[in-house]
Amino acid sequence: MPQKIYDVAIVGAGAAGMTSAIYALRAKKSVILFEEKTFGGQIINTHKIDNYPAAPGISGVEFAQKLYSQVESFGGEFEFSAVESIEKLENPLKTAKSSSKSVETALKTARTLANSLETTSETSQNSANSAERPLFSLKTSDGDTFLSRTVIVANGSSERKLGLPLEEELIGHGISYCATCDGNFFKGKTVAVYGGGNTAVYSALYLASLAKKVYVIIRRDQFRAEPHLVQKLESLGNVEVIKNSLISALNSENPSKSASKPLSLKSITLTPANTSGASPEEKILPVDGLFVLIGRVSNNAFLKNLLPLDAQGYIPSDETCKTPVEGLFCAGDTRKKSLHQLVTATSDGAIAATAAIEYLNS
Amino acid sequence: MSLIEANKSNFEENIKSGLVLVDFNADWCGPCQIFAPVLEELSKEIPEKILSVNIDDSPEIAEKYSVSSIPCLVIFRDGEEIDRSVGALPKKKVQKLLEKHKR
Repeated sequence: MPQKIYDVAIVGAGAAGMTSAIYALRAKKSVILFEEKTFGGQIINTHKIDNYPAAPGISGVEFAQKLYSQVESFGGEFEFSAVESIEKLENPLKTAKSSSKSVETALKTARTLANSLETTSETSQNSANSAERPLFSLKTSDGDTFLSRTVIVANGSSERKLGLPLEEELIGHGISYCATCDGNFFKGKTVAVYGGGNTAVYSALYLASLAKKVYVIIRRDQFRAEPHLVQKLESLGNVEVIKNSLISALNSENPSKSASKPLSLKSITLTPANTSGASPEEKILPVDGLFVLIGRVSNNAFLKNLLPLDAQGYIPSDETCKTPVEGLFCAGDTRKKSLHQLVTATSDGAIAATAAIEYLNS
Repeated sequence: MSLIEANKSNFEENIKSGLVLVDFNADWCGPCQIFAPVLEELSKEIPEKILSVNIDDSPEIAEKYSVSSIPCLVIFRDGEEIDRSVGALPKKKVQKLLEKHKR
């Protein structure tokens, strides 16, 4: 069976990716969305959304489910695996015409492609031009390859981790990156929050309503978070702020002293942040839980060979959502921008899809 | 099979033999709400048992297995934990995880 060629391949089924799917599907383009985890992206961890226009109080899950059903009802296809690489293929039809280094391979691919074009062109009203345009080949973690005329990268960002030994083993056993997700496990217990930005302070405020004691550890001598949040935090009786400190180790214990049971976090080791001495003074802080909220990182390492990324790995595009690679667009948190919100994610999704549609129709 | 609501009174009985998947969840957990229908659907397609444990209703079970992040899928064989995965998964991934332990 000839391989299907999609009009639009979307990497990431969060708010940005699913919104772009809706726009592309409504323009009668064939769409496939790739998602490594479950659909919804970051918003599913938000208990209640209060700043999305005309939908006050909607839960993150409800938002994601509605969006997912909307994409499905318009005929979007979902592939639940990670995209590991994207390759830009010179369209073999074109390659075959010009003098090619491997005419034989090119002709073989051209034949396959010609078959595919016949089978997929019913839904697409793409211009004749597009037959000679490059194609993108997307390879997934399951080893499958998908072909598409355009790609929208909407893969968001991930929590920044500490990078310390035992961190991976202790996820779910004391270490968390989401206070609203896991805070309930620490009712009446002692927890630490690592980070000084808005997310960290919001999380500390939330945790202070559940936990017996909340330590907030920041690397600098002042918070990056908005002053009114910090003020609120500092007014709470069960919160203690520890400044100029780094977490240098995670210490665990085996609760049942049996090898078959998982480890759990027992304490963290703090080191002064600005020490240059040979033997910094370490401090052991006993905690039941540690919430690591030190920012986010991009997920774009797999794109390195295809397009330029900024120093943090984000895609340096502007509000047009175009990239230097023709046919490749980006949307949402993966794009370098200043406001990372649900409303800017959906906005990017609409813009990126519209740009892709224009490209396909031109 | 279908999804079995488990609690203190029927948990041990249900995990004691064969390969069993246990989903630890709670009403307030967003990803759990997305994961639940995936497991419900899967439970109708596979011979293995899938249990659902609400950690607020059965805190003692969550405590016993040191579950402190949900959704948490724990795989048991003959009553012993052999694997676990934290976070909501698409159906295909759960199937893969299970496949790994089939023999």
